[in-house]
Amino acid sequence: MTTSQQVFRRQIRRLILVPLGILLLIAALLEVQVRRLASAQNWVDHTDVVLAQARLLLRLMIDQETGLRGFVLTHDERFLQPYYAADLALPKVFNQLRSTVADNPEQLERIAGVHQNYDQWHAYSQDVISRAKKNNPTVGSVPVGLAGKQMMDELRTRQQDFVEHEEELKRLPVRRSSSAGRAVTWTLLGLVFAFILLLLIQTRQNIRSVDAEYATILNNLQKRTAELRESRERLQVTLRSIGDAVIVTDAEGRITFLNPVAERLTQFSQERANGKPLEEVFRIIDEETWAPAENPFVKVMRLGTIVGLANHTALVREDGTQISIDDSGAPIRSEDGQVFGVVLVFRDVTEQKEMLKVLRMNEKLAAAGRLSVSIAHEIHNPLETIGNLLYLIRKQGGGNLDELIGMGEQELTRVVQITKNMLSLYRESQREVPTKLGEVVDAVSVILQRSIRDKQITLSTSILTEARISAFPAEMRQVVSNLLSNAIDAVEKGGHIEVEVEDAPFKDSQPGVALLVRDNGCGISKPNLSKIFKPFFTTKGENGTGLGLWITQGIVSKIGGYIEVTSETATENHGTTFKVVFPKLRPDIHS
Amino acid sequence: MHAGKILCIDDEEVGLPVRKLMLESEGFEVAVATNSKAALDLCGKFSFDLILLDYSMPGMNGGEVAQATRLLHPQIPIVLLSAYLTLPEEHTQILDGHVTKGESTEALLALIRKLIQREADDPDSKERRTA
Repeated sequence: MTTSQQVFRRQIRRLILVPLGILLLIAALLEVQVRRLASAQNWVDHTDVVLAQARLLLRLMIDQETGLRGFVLTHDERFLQPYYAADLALPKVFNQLRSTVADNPEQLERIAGVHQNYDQWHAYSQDVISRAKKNNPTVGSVPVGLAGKQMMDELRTRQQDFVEHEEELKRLPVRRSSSAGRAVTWTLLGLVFAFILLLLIQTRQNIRSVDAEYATILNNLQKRTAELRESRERLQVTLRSIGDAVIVTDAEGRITFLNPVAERLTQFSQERANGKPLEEVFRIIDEETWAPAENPFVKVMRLGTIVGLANHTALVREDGTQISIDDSGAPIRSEDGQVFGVVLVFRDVTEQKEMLKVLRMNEKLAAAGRLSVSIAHEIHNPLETIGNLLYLIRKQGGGNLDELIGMGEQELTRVVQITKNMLSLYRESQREVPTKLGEVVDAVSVILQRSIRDKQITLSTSILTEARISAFPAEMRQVVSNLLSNAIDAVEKGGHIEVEVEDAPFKDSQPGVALLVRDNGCGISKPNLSKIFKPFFTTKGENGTGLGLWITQGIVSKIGGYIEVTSETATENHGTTFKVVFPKLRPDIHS
Repeated sequence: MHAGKILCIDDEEVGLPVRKLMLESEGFEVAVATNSKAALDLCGKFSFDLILLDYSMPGMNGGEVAQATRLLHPQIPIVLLSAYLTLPEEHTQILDGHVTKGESTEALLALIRKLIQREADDPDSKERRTA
């Protein structure tokens, strides 16, 4: 880039400097010519002065001769007036003429000649005048004519010679200057021609090099354009082939790109969606409330960072059907950090959500299965006793009948109690109701009592608060049963489990209720600790579905609670504590 | 006349005495134990014709008690009386019989009599079990 710039500069310099030089040369030549013409003019003016003086000289001399002739003929002295006037003027004129041609010795010599002749004629004319005055009034007896005429002719010839020479001198610089002018003109023409020629050659050269340079630049540009196009195409292909839906908008939130998955999910083609505001094509609502969800473009522009959508977001497709989506939006920034668009990535999670539902249902069924086993066990015991009692009663037909019947009633009550517990565990409430965690813990402990006793586990329960939380009781029983069952599975025979329900600060120091399930089991290893809430993670082999804690967390977070787990695997203080904290229901909402 | 001596092991507070009553009314001599340790002690002190065992008990479960008594007294037939419908195979295979609680008193009595009778008719079965 810099080298081509240098070449350009050099050429531009040459393009300007060379013609400028030639133009300066032409200007100088013109100046010389003008000066020469001016000096020629001066010279002509000078010779004109000389010629005028020479003519004046001649006229004065002719005036003297004419005056002399008149006087000789008439003896009238009045005719001599011009003669005397010229006498006065002539020496001055001679001097002037001499000083004017002082630079020319030849002309000086000629003037001297003229002067000499004039002096001769003047002497002669003086003589004639004096003689004429003596012979007065004999007019015409004085032989003035011939000798004077000869002298005057000679004088005129000399004078003429001088004038001719001077005129010759006058013509000389004009000739010289005109020939010089021609030379200058030709030179100028030559220069102009050379200038044009040079310009042509240079322009041609420049055009050639510029052309070459242009070709290189064009070539580079084409190469770069091709690269850009290729990378753009690669990106487009990538975006098109991506399994997730992608929508790109400009800085105004208008759609500029839609990949085929996005086309399929929104039911808008790229052509139709192009230029449309995002919210027209990507209509999202809260899946549960059906309230419009915040436009992700607006959210991204507001926060200036990558944003994920709220949970339970559904996309309303063009035909009005809904699909659950999971998505995120991110700003597209230029190199200087300016946001010039937003890219939205989302996927259809309808199936996934359905699957999760099925999984939850499965875990519920599995829990019900586990529970029914323990319930069957509980029921079979009293049933067996009743069977034995009935056998005895039929056989005895008397004796201690009352006692036997009393025992039978006792066992029947037990069956009813168990059935009641079972029913309350599976009675689904249609909405969240104020629920006492302590009661839930008691009910679940009864159900799990057998397993606790079998493993000789010490279960200490302390219910320190009567506070209520808003929850589905069945779900709460599931939470407590999951945590307690895990604790039972975790401890060794003869282990300890503590269950506490107490007031505890919730997030942001709000009042809350905490459920603590603490066991002295083997503890959860660090790597496992990060996985326990993931579905299908289990350490119980075939005896576990791996869904218990995952579902527990789902239930807890649904009603705004959270779970904290601390676990220790060291020999001296191993054990695990699950702490579940729920927002406490305010007393005024109770009733 | 004694139909046989039975050791009855269960932790059921009402169930166990009623079962004892029922068996006694059928002419059996019945000893009861509410936990596995007491049961093993009784096994050491007296000889029994049959052990009637509950599965779910604190401490050792019925299967474990069965394994222990089988080692010490291989000749005594063991019947497991359990509220569970399915039990681990390693426990059920060493048993002479398995009855689900509440199924039928008559069926249980029939099984007990059959096993005690077999024991009396065929003393070789003792060796068979120890083998």
